[in-house]
Amino acid sequence: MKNRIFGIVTFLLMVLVIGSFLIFSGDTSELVFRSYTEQPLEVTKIRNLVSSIYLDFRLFDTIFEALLLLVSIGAIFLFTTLTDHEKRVEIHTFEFEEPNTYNLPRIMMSVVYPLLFIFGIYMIINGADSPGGGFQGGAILASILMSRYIVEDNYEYSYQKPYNYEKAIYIFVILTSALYLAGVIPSEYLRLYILMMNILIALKVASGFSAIFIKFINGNKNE
Amino acid sequence: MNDFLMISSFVLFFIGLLGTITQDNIIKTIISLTILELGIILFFLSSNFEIGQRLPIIGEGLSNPADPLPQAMMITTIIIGVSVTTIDIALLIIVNRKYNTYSWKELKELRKED
Repeated sequence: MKNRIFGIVTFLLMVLVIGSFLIFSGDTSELVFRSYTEQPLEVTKIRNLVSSIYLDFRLFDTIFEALLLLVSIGAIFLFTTLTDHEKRVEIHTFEFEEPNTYNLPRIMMSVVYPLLFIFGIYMIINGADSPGGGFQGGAILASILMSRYIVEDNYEYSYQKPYNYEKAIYIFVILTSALYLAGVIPSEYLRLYILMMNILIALKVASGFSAIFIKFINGNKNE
Repeated sequence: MNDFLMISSFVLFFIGLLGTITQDNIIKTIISLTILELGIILFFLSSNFEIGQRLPIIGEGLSNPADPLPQAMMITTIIIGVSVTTIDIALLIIVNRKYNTYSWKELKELRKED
């Protein structure tokens, strides 16, 4: 009964919002759109407008977003470690004793994951001129570790290592962007700066996602 | 087309909202939160979008490009969404270790007993 009332209220709210959107929505301002599409080639010397926005015009967005990822991973480690002593329930551990049942995905992934690596590198290096960039390449690189886990799940992974890498790389991200914001980098090296930032962000995202993944698959094995 | 995408984004958002309010299973609540976030992402991507727009990459004669600003902002939103979902799951793991339940109702009662 309660759920039905919630459902009706949400539906009415949705109708209200969509109706007001259809009645009041006007044309969006062309000024911002034009400033972002016409300036980049002169300012940043790269062709990908999206990359030029998140590595130049809105650089602070990227810096704080990267910080948020770092903080959230720290929070996950803290949460899952702090409550270790107050657990009441036995943690279930699963033993996979039949490796043969996983042969098909294992063989498939062993074929695919070198290709993923090449694809990720390509996306990062060409992020300036074609679709791609640091975040996307980093997510693909992170999937390498996940596919490697499917291929070889006996391997011992440590979640602390990628977390430490991520912290170190974040310092480099801040240093590089600070150099750019201070105006130290001359305009002929701007492409190098974009490439550098793309690589650093990709490594950061990849190591962050890997740390989360290893923490979740390992549970408390490493503690 | 633009209006259709916008309305779909609102529908997605409210489906997610309804799920977060009504679902008893905590995992379903987290999934609903993700759906809600997808609605927001679709809303931003479809703002200032028209059919026939091309990739926002300067090539030979960039005519009628898509708006790059929402795309750049949504990249960061997707990464932040992943962090939010993982923190939710970490909290769920803690709750499940302590109370051995996935249900909001049971959790409420168990917390009253403490």
